[in-house]
Amino acid sequence: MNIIDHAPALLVAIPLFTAFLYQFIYYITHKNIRYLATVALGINWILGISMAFHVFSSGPISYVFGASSPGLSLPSGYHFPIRIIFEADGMSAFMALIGTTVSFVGALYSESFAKRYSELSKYFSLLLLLTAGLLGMVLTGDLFNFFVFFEITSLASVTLAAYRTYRKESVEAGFKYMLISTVSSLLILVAVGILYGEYGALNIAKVASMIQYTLLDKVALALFVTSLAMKAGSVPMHFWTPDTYGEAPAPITAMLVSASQASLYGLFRVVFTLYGLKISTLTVGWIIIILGVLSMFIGVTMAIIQKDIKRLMAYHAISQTGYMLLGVGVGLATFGTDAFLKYGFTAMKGGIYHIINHAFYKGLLFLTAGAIFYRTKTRNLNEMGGLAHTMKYTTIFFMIGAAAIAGLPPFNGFASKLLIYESVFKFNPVLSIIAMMVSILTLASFVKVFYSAFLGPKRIKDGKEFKEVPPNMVIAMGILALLIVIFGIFPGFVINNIVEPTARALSSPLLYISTILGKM
Amino acid sequence: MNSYLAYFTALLLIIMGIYAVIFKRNLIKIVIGVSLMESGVNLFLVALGYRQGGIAPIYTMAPRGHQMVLPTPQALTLTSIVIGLATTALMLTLSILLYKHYKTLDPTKIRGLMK
Amino acid sequence: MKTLVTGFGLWNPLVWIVAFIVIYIGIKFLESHGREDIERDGDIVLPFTSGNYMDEEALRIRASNVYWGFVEAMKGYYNTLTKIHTGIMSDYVYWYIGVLVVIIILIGVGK
Repeated sequence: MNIIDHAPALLVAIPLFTAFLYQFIYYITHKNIRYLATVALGINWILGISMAFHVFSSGPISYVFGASSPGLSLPSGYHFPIRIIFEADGMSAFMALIGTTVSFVGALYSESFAKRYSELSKYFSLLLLLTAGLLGMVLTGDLFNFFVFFEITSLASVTLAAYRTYRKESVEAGFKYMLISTVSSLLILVAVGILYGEYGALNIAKVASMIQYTLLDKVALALFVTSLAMKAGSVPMHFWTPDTYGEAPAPITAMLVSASQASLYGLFRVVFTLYGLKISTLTVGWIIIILGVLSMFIGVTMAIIQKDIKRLMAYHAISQTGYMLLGVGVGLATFGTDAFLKYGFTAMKGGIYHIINHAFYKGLLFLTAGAIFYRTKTRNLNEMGGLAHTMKYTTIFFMIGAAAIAGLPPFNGFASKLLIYESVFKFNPVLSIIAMMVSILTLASFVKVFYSAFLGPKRIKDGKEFKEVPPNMVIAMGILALLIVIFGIFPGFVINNIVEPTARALSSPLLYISTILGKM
Repeated sequence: MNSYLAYFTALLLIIMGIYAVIFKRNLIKIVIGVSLMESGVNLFLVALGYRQGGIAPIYTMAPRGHQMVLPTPQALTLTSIVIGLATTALMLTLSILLYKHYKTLDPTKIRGLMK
Repeated sequence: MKTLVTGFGLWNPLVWIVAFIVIYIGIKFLESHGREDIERDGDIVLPFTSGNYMDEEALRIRASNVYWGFVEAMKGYYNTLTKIHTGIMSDYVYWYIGVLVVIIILIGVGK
């Protein structure tokens, strides 16, 4: 028995179990246990890394609940997967790698950041539920379970966004997010119902093997694409993003970025795997490209005029999501043609590389914004200044994050953007030029943040200087900064060992299907 | 025609829900709208599994020769109802908090984030 | 391992790092040849303030005023966008449903 075989289930089970354990311990002892969530998510992180590298090197694994052996999806005599199945192919493992990393960092950061919140045990329980939800979303091989985990993620993130109920803005942001994510998840359920009604199956692999692309399928596809693109925060359905990202506590915002990317994963999974065999690639590909370009441009231009540091970063999250949509959209639009091998696959690699880069540098930037808020108690850029004098680590981490998001070499953002620019230029030069322009505007707005928050004369509030944040927070930010630097200096290694298997897994629906149903 | 009635009702419920969410100017009515949508979706799921003259899908002591309704959509509906309960409760909780902060339930007035 | 092959070209971050180090050494070299009697905080800022002695706080541009010209030039665009972003939650759902309808039509019509 190998622990890796059970990893898909454990990755969800560990946070779920720890979430309830927290409440149980609190119920008995009325004490908040510190570092329990961090330790649990640390174990999860190691598990996530080992599962990811196992999957990248030796192909997809599936986990069948209740079967006599974990990988047994079709017991003898069955032609139909009846059990609940988790499947980790390259793409799922890649997203699980991101999810476990960011959730561990978020928990470690929260140990200090959230200390002044009341009901700390509930905070950590919700954080663990959010982790369980987003890992479940990326690992499940079942459409209905995808909906369930989607809802778990929404509920946990809404509650965390509205956690500071004494602030009216937080509650408002929570309600807005709740409303739109509930409506969208109900429409996802309609889409799941349509597919079930047509094909009598809920297993993604099984449905994918039978998909016909009828009119009803098209409606279901549109429901999936819109809902998941909305949750990923693409323009023009992005209005909730700055509200929620701005109001949630900083470590939660870093995790919400990963939760949004889990929705992005859902979108890619639906278009490439679920509909992969029959989809009209050009139509859907262009829809995704247009959503991506709109997100990139409107996101970054709106970011420039913001004066709230976290709203500004939230608009950048929208804009960076545009790059992923653009990269993978170009991959989809050329899917199945000669152009796919020439440049479409490179564009996909760029888009996927950008997902992991974005999770790390955007997570890092939100954490530095949290560190600034932790000391200055304000998010208004007009009232900040001179923090570089006393908060040295935060300044360095912010610079690394800002350079990475703006695509300055030698950081990781440059590597992924280079792949996107070059391949998209072959596809359509205008799109590539827009992407470059957006990158320049990104740099411009981060120069503004850096100037307003960190430069200038030293400021003193209530007779005190702004000290560096506690070590937990510095270590949490340091982990992400280190990953960014490594990903920037060894792009070839990352591309060959992480991104390429992922892109290959995403672009081969038959591999996903045959893992469950055997050779067809 | 009769067999499609359930689908029409479900669609009608969903559209009514969406209408309420978009055009009603009261948070409680918006929550009711979301609830309507939930009911519509649940009805849609149950209707998917319905077979004319089918019996409950329990094999123990089941009479022979009858066809059964599909069990999976019923399981889905149950799960969906539970999730619906949680979302409705959470939304109502947030509405109460919003009312405490803003002294109104009108979504056009709850715009503290816009400043 | 370090080189990124894009299929159209390649990029090696090591070259950049070496370049940064060389540039840094160059700057330090130039700096070491400069005059040592100039005070960094004192009169050196005078050319930028038209010869006036000013408070350091007064010299700072507030974050909202950075890129003032850019925002002013794109005023029409920004006015439209901020008008669309009403902050009313019903409008959020309205946009979502609107995009949904458009995408259903596009995918439905598409081959």
